[in-house]
Amino acid sequence: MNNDKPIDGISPPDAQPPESAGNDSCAIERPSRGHVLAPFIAVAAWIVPGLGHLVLRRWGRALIFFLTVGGLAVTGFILRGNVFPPRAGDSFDTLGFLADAGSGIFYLLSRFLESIGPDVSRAAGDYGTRFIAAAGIVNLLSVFDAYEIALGRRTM
Amino acid sequence: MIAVWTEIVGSQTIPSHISHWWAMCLFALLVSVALAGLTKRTPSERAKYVASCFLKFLAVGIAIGWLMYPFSH
Repeated sequence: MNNDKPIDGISPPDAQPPESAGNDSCAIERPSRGHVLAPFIAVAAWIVPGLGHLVLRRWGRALIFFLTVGGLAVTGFILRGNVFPPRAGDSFDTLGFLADAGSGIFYLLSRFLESIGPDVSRAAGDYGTRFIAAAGIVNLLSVFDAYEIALGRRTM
Repeated sequence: MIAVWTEIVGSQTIPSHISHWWAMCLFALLVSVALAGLTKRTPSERAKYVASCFLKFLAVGIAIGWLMYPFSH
């Protein structure tokens, strides 16, 4: 697996234009394919952890992010952690929602994955809340990473 | 599949309790692997980073635990 290879059809923004277009003052600069695809890749990476890297053919990272985000989220659900709803009561609940929502499909399916509801009266439930929030934060990091790779700003 | 999952989680086959220690270890391991995947490139670099980051997580967790110990009495 060679991660240095550029993505097919996606060139970094600082790539040199072809020589034929070098002195053409009438040439219109069009956004590269990477710039066009990057937002879609970011959304894909958010909805399904690792999917953005999978589209970019970064198999290793895709697997790592799917397993770690999924592991954190599922462990949080098993421990019956609290999942913050979109309509938050205060600022801390809003921050909790933003962190939880970062896990994408796991947040959207949390109602089914944790159908018996949270139980934060025990320490395990409190751990579960942190696990779910950490899953969202880790997935947001992967979203930014996939976005940067798609733009060509990150080669590794 | 969701019904099967609900049945598994709702039953007692998977314990919904975990000690502080194992929760910390699991959290440290998963986050270390994610950070290694994010910041390192080769498998050997990632393995070293996972080991280093995991041990640092545990060390800091134990240190903070001892710092808070007087407040628990």
